[in-house]
Amino acid sequence: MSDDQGYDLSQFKATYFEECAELLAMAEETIARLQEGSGSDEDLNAVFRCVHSIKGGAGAFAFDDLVNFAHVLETALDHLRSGRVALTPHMADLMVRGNDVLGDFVRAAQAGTALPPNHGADILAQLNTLIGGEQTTLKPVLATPPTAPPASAEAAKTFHISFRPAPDMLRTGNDPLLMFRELAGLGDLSLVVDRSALPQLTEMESSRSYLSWNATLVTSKGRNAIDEVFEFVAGDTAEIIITEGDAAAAFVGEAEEGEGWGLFAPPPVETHPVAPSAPAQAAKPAGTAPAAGGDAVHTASIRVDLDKIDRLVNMVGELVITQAMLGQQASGFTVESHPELIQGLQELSHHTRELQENVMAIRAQPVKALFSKAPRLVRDLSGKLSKQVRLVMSGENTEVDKTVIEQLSDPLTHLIRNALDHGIETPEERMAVGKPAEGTIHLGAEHRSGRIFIQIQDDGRGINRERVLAKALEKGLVERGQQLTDEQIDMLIFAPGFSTAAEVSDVSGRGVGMDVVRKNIQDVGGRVVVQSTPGVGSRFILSLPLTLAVMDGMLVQVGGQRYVLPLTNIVESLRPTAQQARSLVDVGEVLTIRGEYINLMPLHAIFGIENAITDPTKGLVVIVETEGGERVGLLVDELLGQQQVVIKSLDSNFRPVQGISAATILGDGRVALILDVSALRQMGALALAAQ
Amino acid sequence: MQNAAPAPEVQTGGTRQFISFTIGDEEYGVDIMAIREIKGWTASTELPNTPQYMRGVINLRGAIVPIFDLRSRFSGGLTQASARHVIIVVSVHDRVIGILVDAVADIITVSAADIQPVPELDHHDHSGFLTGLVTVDGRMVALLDLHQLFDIELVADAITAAA
Amino acid sequence: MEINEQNGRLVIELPAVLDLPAAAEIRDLLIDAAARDTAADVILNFHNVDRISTAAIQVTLAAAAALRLAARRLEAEAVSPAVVDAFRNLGLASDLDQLLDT
Repeated sequence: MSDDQGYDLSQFKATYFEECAELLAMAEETIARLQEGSGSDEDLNAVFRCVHSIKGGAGAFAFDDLVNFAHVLETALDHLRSGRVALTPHMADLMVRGNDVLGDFVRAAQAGTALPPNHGADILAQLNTLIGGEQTTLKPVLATPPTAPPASAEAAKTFHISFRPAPDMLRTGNDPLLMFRELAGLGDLSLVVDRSALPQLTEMESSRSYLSWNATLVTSKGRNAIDEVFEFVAGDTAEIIITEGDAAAAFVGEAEEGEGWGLFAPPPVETHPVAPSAPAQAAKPAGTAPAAGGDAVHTASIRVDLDKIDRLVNMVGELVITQAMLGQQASGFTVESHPELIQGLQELSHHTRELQENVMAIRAQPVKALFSKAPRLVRDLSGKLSKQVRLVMSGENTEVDKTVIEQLSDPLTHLIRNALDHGIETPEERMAVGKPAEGTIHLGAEHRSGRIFIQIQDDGRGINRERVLAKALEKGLVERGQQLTDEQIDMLIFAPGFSTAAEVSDVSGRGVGMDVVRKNIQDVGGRVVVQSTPGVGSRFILSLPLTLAVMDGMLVQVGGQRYVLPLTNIVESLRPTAQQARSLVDVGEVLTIRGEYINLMPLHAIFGIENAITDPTKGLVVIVETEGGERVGLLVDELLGQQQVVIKSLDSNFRPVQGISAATILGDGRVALILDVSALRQMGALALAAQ
Repeated sequence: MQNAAPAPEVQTGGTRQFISFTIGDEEYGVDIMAIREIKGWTASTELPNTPQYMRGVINLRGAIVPIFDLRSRFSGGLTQASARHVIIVVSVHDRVIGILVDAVADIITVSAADIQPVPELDHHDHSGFLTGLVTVDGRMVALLDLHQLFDIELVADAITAAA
Repeated sequence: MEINEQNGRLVIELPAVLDLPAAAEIRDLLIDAAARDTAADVILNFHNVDRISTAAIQVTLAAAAALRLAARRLEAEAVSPAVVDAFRNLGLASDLDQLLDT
């Protein structure tokens, strides 16, 4: 059977949780807007729909705890959007927390674990008070005859509803069946079904929606009641047009929405795109069925399983390898002897690269998803720590691979916490040293030379090097009397187990600090460095690959082995003269280049490679720069050429190897190892120390 | 891959199939369910600073697969690998690894009852990696426990690498 | 769920809840039934069914069409009120009638 649909319930669950994550993020973002006061009524509706959708799916999978909490939150939101409860800052805050707890329930459901029975109880109690408080105030109103219908809804009107679900609607747990049942409950409903989109049975995806409907509803309940039925599926609706077309034209001219219609206009209509994301549908005369194609309102995006994209990425990777292989095979031919072949290969190379970039772009996402948590975090923490902090963000639309984004969430949170907790001073301390009371944290992202750089900069007190050094000595991380540069001292905060927080605070955590941050970042091929100036502030710079799949590399030969050096690390290559290469006691071999001393690392010695060139003046030295900015010279036999390589993990079948970041497959089908320049530098230093 | 874990205790009374192969004069057997494919030796890429029996990695249709030299693992002494040598590709848990052996000998079917326990006084230091012994046509075949052999390996190495 | 041959007909006993996963399963069974080299009609037995989703109903529509092309029939048997309601609520009462019409 086709790949994209098994009977596996887990697939639907996966889709649901994926969607929950989006909905939770959207709700959070929207609530934040409301908190800032820049939101609108529609924003409250949007949050309401998010919570409702989460609840709906949870019901389908019987996540009862989740349903129960979502229900209360939803009810509270309903009170807010109806204006029964005012949206005070306190309420907005409560909604933020409510959304957080909802997220906890979602994640617990996803992990299949149970939360403590009283989880979120305080929030729940407050929400209940909100709802309950309202109920008591409503009671007097309810005391009036409840049977009296609202004044506006006494006359039956006829509505035409054209409804076409988005293809994915069924998957999200929304069934048109339930909506039509509700509609039928409103009045007299007749339906015409459009079956034309039904595919052949063999082509059918059973969870996809193929039917669409034209309904005529005669009801006295009014337009809002209809809107409510469709409101919950707004996000899953490709097209919904509700028109009021009363044959008895009695309301023409009277109806509020009838304004402005000319003499030649057909009976007044109102088109009503429920889906907020869909472009507004142009007004159509009543009774006009939507055009057969009905594509005016089109979903601009589709949901694709990440596995499918990864398969595509892998296939493109294989294609890149094949293309490299062909290029290598044809290297003996010249344009003169085989013009078409050479031209064809060039085009192939061009198209392959373009294809690859485009495929990678599918996985790319703006870092906004990552940054959007920061404002909350800063607000919450600055309150907790009694600090005044302004958050400035830039480059939110910089795109990076989805996996990188996912892996970065925790480290970034930690670094922001760290900046707030240890970096930024209290307002009093700041004013005492002549700084503005309000501190600033700058969170920025940018693309530079094939990598993405994310920085977290604060204008706080900077790293206290004395304290760091004292702590490092105490922990035995450095030896007494060892000479360290400021940069080296700063980098000590990334050492395992290192934490300078005098006392464990619940903000920055318990000593599982920076080393974990660094590890997380390294896991996705990234590096983190810190630059700090006492009294002025600190800056953490994360440098990450744009994608985890491909990179430009330089193929080098050492003995019988070939390695790939990431092009981004390479500064230059040269064959040193005897004057340039010196051997110094305690430092090892050193190169003098334009007055600068650079440590020489013989790759053959670090890796134990036989038959390699050991004399720097006979081999080649590639000057490489680590993300930390240190330069070292790698001694290799020769450079074999530049090429794009597909990154393959070593640890999927083996384990990490020090000094090697990954592997790749060369044009001849052999495996070559990709060098990890920063790790090599450390290994070189260790090897030297051991001598 | 899901069949990688042999469960002899469950299969008592039934028969099991093994691929047997030779290293020098010795014959070993690996559960046929764990075997992904058998291929001739191809030159591997050495991994720096790994034990001698770790013969590097090869490209197996796009996957990077580590190759272990079983001779070297057991008794020391590198296999002088040539085109006549064989890589048996097996899956151990979620990993795909290759083991370098001299030659594939046979497919043997043995009933669980015929599998003898490994005598304690076995002179090799690798008795922990054997699940049992069987006699086939007068030859002794030692049945390997790949999990013991390589899982411990990978985990232990990973720990030292991380330290 | 499985296909049973009974008196020259292919019968599929449907479970109580025809939700999304069930719809996928029914689809695959019906593809199987339709692909079989036989003139046998295919019977969906609904007597256990308490709840049916739009997804499952869509599948029956497509299957009925597929079998019709092969001059075979898809029939519904022992249809419960819940199922009748569902078809009717979706405006598909006539489609159900066709499945029932013997």
